[in-house]
Amino acid sequence: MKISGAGNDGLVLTLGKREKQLLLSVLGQYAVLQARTQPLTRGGGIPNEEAAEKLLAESTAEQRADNVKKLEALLQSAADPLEGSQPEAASDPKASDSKAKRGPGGWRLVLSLDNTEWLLQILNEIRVGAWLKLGCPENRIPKLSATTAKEIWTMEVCGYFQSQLLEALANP
Amino acid sequence: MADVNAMAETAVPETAPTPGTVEVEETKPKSGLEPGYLVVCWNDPVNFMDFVTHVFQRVFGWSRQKAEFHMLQVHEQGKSVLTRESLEKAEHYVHQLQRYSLHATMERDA
Repeated sequence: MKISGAGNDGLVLTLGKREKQLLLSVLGQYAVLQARTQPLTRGGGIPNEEAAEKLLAESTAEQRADNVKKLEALLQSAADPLEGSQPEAASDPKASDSKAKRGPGGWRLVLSLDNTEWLLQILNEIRVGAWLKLGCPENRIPKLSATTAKEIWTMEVCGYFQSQLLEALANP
Repeated sequence: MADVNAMAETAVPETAPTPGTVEVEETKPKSGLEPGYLVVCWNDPVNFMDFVTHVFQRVFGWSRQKAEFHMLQVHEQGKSVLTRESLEKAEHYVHQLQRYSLHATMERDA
């Protein structure tokens, strides 16, 4: 995967066919991810704690719903007509600021800075979700087996894309 | 916290606080009338160290050095008190950190 800076406008990711498949495959898991609810506080003592916890849960759920819609728009714009799926549609700027299109060098994904952060959040949420499914192992990579293979693979692929994005952001 | 590429540790200048010490930089003076709330990030075995550093930089606008200091504190001591704020601000920061799937909470300052 090649990542180039688009100045202050964000990043341009150029992926080969296999990398594109990997990325879309992990992103496609977001919609079926088990929602993780974290408490607002461990020690308590927060005024109107119950209401505050409820607000956090609602905010998290709302954010998740928005993320699902945004991801659907991104995945639709990335559909490859050669693979028999929907025709490559022009990206809808109202649906997503990300632009994905097939070019001579591979599949190009143009991300604004905000959407780069958003993608990092999504990838990490998917990665953490896979870890939760594995039972929150203390050892980051548990033993590979038929039951753990999918989640381990998900964590590794998400981690790969996360580290690529982080490196690009740290070294523009 | 996970080390994605077994990164070499970044050298920290002598003037920077060491990860073994606990320092809380207060953004507001303590007042008997205004309880403060601590925003705490807790360690977990899943989030990458460089990801946590990046999140701290984004959410708090910190330099890389300061973000790494707090990340190492989380990694080595199990938690780091990131900031002391009003109720609303602390809630806001916890929301932001949890958006990145970091394990973060707010705790009433004694």
